Amino acid sequence: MSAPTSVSDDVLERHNDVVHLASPAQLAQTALRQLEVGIAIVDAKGVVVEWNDRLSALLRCSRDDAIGEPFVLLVDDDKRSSVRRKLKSALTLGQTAFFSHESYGHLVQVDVQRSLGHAVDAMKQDATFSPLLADDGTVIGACISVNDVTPQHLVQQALEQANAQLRYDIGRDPLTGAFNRGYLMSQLTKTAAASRRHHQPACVLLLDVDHFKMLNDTEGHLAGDAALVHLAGCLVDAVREEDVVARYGGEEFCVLLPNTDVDGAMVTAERVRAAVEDMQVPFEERTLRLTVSVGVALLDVDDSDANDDGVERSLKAADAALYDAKRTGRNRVRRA
Amino acid sequence: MTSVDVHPAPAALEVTPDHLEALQEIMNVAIGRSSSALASLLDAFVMLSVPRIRVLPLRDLHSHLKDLVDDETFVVEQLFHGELSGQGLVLFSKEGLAVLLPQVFSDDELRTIGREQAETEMLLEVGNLVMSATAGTCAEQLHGSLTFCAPKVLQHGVSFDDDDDGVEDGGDRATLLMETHLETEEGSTRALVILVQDAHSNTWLVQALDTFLQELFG
Amino acid sequence: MSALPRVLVTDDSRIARASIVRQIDKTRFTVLQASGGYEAADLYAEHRPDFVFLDLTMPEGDGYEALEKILGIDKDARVVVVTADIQPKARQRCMDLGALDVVPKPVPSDICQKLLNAVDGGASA
Repeated sequence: MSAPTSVSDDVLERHNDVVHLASPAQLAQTALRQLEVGIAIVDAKGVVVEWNDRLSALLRCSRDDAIGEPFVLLVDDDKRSSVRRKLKSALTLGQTAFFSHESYGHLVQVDVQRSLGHAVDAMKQDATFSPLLADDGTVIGACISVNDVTPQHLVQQALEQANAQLRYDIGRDPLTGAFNRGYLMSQLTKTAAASRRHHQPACVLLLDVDHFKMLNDTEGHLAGDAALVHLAGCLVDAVREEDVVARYGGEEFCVLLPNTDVDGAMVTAERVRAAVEDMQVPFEERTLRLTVSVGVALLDVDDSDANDDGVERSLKAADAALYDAKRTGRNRVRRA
Repeated sequence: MTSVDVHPAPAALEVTPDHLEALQEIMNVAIGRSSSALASLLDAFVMLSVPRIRVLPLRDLHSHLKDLVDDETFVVEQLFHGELSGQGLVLFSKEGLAVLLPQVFSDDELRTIGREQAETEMLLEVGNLVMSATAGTCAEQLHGSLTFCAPKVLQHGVSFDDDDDGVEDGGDRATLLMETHLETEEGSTRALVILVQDAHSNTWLVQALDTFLQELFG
Repeated sequence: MSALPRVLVTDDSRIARASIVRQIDKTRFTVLQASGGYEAADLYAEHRPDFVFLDLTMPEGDGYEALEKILGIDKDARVVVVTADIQPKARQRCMDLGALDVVPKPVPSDICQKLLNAVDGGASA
């Protein structure tokens, strides 16, 4: 062996010697210890026999403290019974069980301090409980792998928020914030189907602002807009949470009332008409008043295959009733 | 997604009556094991009835499910990989959820984790168990490899609607549809298990069933 | 009438029956097959087999009924119940009714051979 020519050569030579001495078994053992995934290995009774470095870091519990302990005692109190079930699945039934952060958040609460960006209270952890089998198929232990999934969780959260916003934006009329016609139509179809399936009636109200053109002409379009915005709010307040208030046309609104029969719909329609009559719309220094005419119709679900035709028929019927209300003096409710 | 490999096109549905009989028996065993596994896990009386199984081309799945599935059906999805690979689905009705929930969670636990989360977790656990037993037994009996991914509750169900997207080439794939009844002390409910296979798994399955029958009858 | 001991295999699935039947050495045993509980009881009465494999979940005369019936015919009948659902309650019920044992389905070959060996004292040399 020639004399090393520099210090770094000497270090490299020694380093090479060390690497050559590691056996495959040692490499495997080292891999287990240093893997990016947290790994715990338990025997058939659920007692920890191996605990890697990553797990020590993730769960803030050292290898020395963990080995010899029943795994279930090393997780948070409120997670214990769930973890017990997962371990039972692996050790007794020989079936892999999954512990997801979406359901439980974490195995062990580890505070995460995120000074910049969205806050997250604690590390999100996923875990898999896999049975370890001998050649003859008997369960000799289990391997529990734990992952920090906080980054994925944050991405998922951001995505869900963006989607919710998008759904909201797509389904809404920009002026009034009521649902738009597109959303209404899909809801009508869904409600008709549910109505048919559960044998529960549903109704539609078609409302049209009385003398809207005159309002626009005398007070201006902005006044008309303000009136519509207030009207939408008034409608939403007057009906239940499950009812759908949508802007159907320029000055026309449609309210979908699931699980309501015609008599109930008439009561709601009258309540709505009265509320609109009482409504005061502040605009510039004035107060605008309006009334609506209302047509009420049952959502037609008799034709089981031509579901969409049923919806069209219902809207036509409500429209005819609305026309009737207009014709007989406005500011009133008529049924189909 | 176009495939650019050189494998032959996925085998059309070639499941014979003999294959079906073999699958029926394999699933009888699978459901029996699910039953005892569930009973063990819940530490309660649980019985899963002998399943009614149908093997259909994937494109026909929708029409069969139309009457069985509604807005209040909960779907647990679990993907699996190996010689047997594909998408597993376990479906429970709302009533099923009500029947199973008190068996899995105590009142204290329900208070601590909250009802909605408990429901999700229960669906995942029971779904995972049933799917493990079902696909697992299938693979085991047919000497195939299999490994599972984590189960997932599908928030908006799967689209069982009448559109053909994504089902053009794969429409022939043998899809297993199983109906069983789950009975506990709290009541009984129907559960559906569906195995939608990947194309290569479809080919493997037919061969594996042939081998299985060969071993039995020569 | 053959001098070989008789084994009755009962299951509504011919696949399940085949999986047991193929494990039975035909030079040592005569195999009878039944596809339902009533048939099994009838065959038992007629042939008095030395050993019975009995599936629990059958549509025509379920396993429990068949078990009771067979043990009614012969209280020393050797019946082993075969079932995929090995819940303790089910097992207990079978044992209480007089079953010799309850084994999982499909029957592992070592268990099958052990049971058969007990019937004729082991494979002939």
